[in-house]
Amino acid sequence: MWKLLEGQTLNCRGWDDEFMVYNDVSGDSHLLGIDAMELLRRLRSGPASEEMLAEALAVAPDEREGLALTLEQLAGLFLIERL
Amino acid sequence: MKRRALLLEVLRAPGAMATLGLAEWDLLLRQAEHSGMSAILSCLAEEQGLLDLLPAPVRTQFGWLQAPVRRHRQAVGWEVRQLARVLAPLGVPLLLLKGAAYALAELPAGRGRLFSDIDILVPEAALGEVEAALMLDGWVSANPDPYDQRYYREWMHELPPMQHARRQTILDVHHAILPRTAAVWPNPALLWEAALPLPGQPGLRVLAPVDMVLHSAVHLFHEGEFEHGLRGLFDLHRLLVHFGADLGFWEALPARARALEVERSLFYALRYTSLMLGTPVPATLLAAAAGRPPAAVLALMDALFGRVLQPLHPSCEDRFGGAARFALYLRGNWLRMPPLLLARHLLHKALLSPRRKEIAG
Amino acid sequence: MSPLSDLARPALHAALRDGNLCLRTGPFALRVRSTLPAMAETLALLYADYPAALDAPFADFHIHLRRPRGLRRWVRPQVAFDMDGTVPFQPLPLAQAFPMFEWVCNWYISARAHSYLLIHAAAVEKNGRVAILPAPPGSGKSTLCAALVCAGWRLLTDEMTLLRLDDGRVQPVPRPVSLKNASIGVIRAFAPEAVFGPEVADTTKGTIAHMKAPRDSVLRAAEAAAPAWIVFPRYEANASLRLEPIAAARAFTRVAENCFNYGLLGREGFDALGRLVDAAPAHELHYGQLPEALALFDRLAATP
Repeated sequence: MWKLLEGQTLNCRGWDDEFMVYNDVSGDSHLLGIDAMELLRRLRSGPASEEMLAEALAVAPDEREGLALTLEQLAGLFLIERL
Repeated sequence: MKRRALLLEVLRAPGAMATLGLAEWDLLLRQAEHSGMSAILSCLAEEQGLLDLLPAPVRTQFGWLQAPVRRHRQAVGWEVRQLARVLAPLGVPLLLLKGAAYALAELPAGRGRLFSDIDILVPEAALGEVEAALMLDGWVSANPDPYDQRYYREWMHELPPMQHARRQTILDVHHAILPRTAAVWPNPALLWEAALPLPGQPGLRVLAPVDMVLHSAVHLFHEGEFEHGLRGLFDLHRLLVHFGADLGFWEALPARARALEVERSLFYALRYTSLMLGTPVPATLLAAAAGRPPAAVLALMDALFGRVLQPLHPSCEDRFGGAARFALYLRGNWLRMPPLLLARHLLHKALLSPRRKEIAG
Repeated sequence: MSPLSDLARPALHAALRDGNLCLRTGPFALRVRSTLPAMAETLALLYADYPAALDAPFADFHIHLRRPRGLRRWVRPQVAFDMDGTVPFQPLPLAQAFPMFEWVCNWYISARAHSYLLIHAAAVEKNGRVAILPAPPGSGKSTLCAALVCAGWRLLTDEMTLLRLDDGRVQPVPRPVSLKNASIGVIRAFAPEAVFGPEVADTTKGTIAHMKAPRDSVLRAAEAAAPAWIVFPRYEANASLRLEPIAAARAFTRVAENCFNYGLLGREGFDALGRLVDAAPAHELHYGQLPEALALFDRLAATP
């Protein structure tokens, strides 16, 4: 199960398919694509498992690995964490 | 105007800031900058509700400091959070010292206090696994010099400073508050016994109020480096005023100093805060014999500290300022290391290692 | 405050010697102290139009340039920046006193003025709208900025753009435009009437000279203006003129990379930069000929 890091407000600005996100916790700023942004938005509503996220974002089976990798990367940026 | 220690006056009586003219502010801001206390001064003005009374150019400069103060607090919070994450799986308690403690415990002593090192205390028995876990998380020893490494591990009360590879923060991991070689030995077990949890932050502790004050006193009056001496004295003042509201604090302080063998440091702390900053120390504590040095030594210390604890600025220096600072550097190191070892260490450091310059936490 | 040019030369020398000269550059008050003759001469030339005062009680930044003490003073003449008794930077050869003065000003602003987002960029204004030119060294930014300014654009800054955090407007800090090496000759040829300070050779950047800021720009230093364009200049000899749009998110990161204090400003910096990128579309400008580039800027200024 994944959730947003405690304290993240997901302050973001988007233009077309690219987004800048301010990380309230680390003070870093991140440039994210639309898929990663969608994941974060879903998690803002509440914690979710990888399966739930895959379904919500209509992720095809061959894209699942990419989804898992993106989740790890977002965790590495301290935007999300495992519950 | 030339020799006026405005910074000292204003720290003693913050309300005076409302009476200063532009020329005095020009000097005060420069004294504050040199003493590393600009942000502390701006927070003090804000705390006292004085901002609207200050001249516009001063309000502007204080405005410049808001972002650094905010950002610094955010960064300290983040570092502590990361450390807690790394140490939690080890089951090792994490005790915050100095600046990080003041910030996370939201003490007045932390307001505007900018520093570049994080200081923590861990049990000596856990030192090996703590260092290993930190290294796995990207912390590396900041000073590769093998002599310094050995110096720290054999003689000191802390690991050699570590630096985070990505975030560049410096971390000092202590296992005691004074080195093994020092003439006195405050028992860490006593500190751990009395340590308090931080509300809302599982796994984090801070020293009990009396211990926080005594640690600050020891840090100021044992350490060799008085570059931020006035800031250290003001830390003590803030802590004493805050905790001193509770009468039990003053009652417990002398006994605790005795138990930790730091009565001399407490004596100096109470003496110089009350003399220079007007800290409301109860008369009984000031008059107490415990920790008082012989009269000749006291006279010398009064002269030395009196100079060294002035704001660091040419306007406050007299001919002896530099000599005073050096004498106290020697004294500080002497208290930490027996004389023979000290000579060898100082010599080695003079020849081989460039001086590390940063603001101690 | 009256302009520095009102001050007779002997009085200027005395004021500098006594640390009594206050100059205003944009929102900042400087107090300058120096007994170096070159300083007095160059200040008198390049800062002639700037508000100046003697005996001002308060200054934001204090700049004392002096010869370092010790044996070195006889072997190799140098100049040091003395900040109330400490010398934070390595001394430089004496001939570089004025460039050092300019660098110290920039350092003070970048180290202290955190109520602005500080962008390493030039900023020029026409018809109430500001073009911000961020650029790493070597991109031709300074030459382009100097040319624009000589062609009638108002100089807000050639080096450090101050974006106000409260309203997103650019705060002018018009100061002498620093040019190096070939650019000096280019601008001298382009604008023969431009006033230059002495050329200083052998700095880490080569030969440096400072062009005096136009009087109008200095007089209007209190007039902030709104950003309208972000232009990353790229000079390449013989390149044809090309204006390529930069996607907003990429503009964000590229400008952030050129900021002195983006990280320090935290959330406010993020918001300020986001507002800038929303208000001012970003482009990369490739050019090989100055006149072509200037014409393009004029076309930009003319668009509604």
